[in-house]
Amino acid sequence: MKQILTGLDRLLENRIRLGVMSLLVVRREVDFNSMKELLGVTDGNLASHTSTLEREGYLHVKKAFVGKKTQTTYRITEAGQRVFAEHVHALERLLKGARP
Amino acid sequence: MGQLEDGLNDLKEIRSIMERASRFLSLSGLSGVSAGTVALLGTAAAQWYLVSGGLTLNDRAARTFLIADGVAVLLVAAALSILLSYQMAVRRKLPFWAPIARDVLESLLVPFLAGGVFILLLIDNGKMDLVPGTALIFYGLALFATSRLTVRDLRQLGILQILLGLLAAAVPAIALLLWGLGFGVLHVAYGMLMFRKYER
Repeated sequence: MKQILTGLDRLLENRIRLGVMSLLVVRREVDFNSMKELLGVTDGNLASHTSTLEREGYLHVKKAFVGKKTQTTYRITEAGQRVFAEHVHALERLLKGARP
Repeated sequence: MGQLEDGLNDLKEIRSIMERASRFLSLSGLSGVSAGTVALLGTAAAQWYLVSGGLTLNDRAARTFLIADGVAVLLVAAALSILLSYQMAVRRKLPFWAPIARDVLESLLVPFLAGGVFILLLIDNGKMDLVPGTALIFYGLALFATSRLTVRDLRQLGILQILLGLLAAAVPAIALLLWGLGFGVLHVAYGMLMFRKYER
């Protein structure tokens, strides 16, 4: 998924996926509803992006029952952390290189 | 050109999300200054009481005043911090009670409770001179643990508090002074630093 030259991660070029990862880097664990609220996105939209990230091994998903409802919480994986850090560094490099 | 702008916007977005997610941190600047000021007043009151009565920390006669002083500092500092945080949340149109607040509270409370009980045991055993150091150590541990949920700066502050606490426990004669340095001076300094760094 990575562009070898730049270190940018293709999956993280999407704002919502980038947002999810930014959240999980600073928070140990985030539940679906808080994530939705913090990112300001709709249910369906967020769900499709988190499942993409899960499939690629960037995050762990945990489902638990709270009363009758299921509660889904997310955690970043080590691979996810690595990819995110590289992506941010690549963005910084890109911007630094652009300055005269 | 488009790629550059996207990159810049992405970085801004990451920063803003991280700040929103760890919202409690951006509120702590002024809270730190106010908590530190209260602690300095509390330390001054304790010092004045001891000096004017010719007492030391371990004297039974000083015990009630010192406990009342310590509890008052804790309550007033906590109340002011919560009030300032609440005001800031309202001003920034953010929910005050977000999930992060629960995480932060939980990570502060465990070391606080353990420290609180331990301090009660110390007082019960007449070891008042170990209380300032113990309070600093447990408070530092609480900050250290909570720093994962907020800014990294809290980590340094936590470590400094722990070091001062250990020194205070080793040299009880200057324990009160170190307490004032940790809870007072360090709070004010860090509060101002954080305010300048994140809130301007």
